[in-house]
Amino acid sequence: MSHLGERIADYLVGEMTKAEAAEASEHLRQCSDCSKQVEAFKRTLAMLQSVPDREPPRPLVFEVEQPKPSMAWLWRWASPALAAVAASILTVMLMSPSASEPSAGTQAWLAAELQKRDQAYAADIAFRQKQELLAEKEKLETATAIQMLAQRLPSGD
Amino acid sequence: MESGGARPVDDRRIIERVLEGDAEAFNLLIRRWEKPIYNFIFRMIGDRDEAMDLCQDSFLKAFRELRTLKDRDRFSAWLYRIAHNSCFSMLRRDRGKTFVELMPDDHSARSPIEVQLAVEKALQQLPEDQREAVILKVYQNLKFEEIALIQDAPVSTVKSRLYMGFEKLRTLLS
Repeated sequence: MSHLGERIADYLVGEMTKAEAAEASEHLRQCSDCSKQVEAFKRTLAMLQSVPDREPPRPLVFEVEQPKPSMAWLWRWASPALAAVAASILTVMLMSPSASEPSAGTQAWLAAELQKRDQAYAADIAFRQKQELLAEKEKLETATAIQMLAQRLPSGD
Repeated sequence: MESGGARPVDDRRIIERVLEGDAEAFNLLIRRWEKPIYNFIFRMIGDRDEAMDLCQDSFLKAFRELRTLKDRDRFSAWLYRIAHNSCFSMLRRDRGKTFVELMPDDHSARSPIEVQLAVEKALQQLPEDQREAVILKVYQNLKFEEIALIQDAPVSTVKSRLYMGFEKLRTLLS
């Protein structure tokens, strides 16, 4: 067998077939030049392998933007219910056997209840609009951040 | 030493979850491959902070292009290829810079930290292709065929680079 030459690296890292490795071992038994080179490479390999991996200076965490739950679901649930309640109150009033004019006290109470409901609706609408604005703002900020990151990436593989 | 062998079933399963919409599952892949990829890049370019930035960029690119991965059982080799491209872009950009000597060439008995610094310095003195072949073989334990794919070179060329890298390191570290 001729000198191992570059195949010393294959031998050293264990990437020869069994037959090739057996042939190489036999050659090394007879060739002092090659066996000296193998020993020198083994020392180099041992020194390389003695150096441990380093810990990354900071951990990498991939965070996915979760959409904030909006109050829209509440509005969608509440508004038909509230409307139904209002309608039923009105229906009860109109269908009441005593069709005579409600008393002043009842009228005042009803007016107060209706005002309360109006205020509640207005507050819900304002809250929903604010949540939608916040969501829009977050979307824009995320898109800008992604765009900036994309510009930093090298193109192509 | 990190094994370069992929865990095909585990990686594949995680990739499928990510592609089905569970983006957070990508963190499982990051936890598994962060240290080997970081160390590969660090040994290639020799700068801790730059290596961390390139490591982050590599994972971000991998996430964005996950759908283009043809063989889900070879995620690690694909990821190394992305990291390889990042390294070589940076190395081409920084070509011609002068590096400061960090330690004297005193070859008397060295402490482990001195050996570490000597090895890291010696690796930086190899041509990039040889350096990469040595790193991927010795530290990442990849097969020659995998290294050939990452370097986009024939297996015979990879073996040649490894041999020449060892020869030069033997001289530098003896």
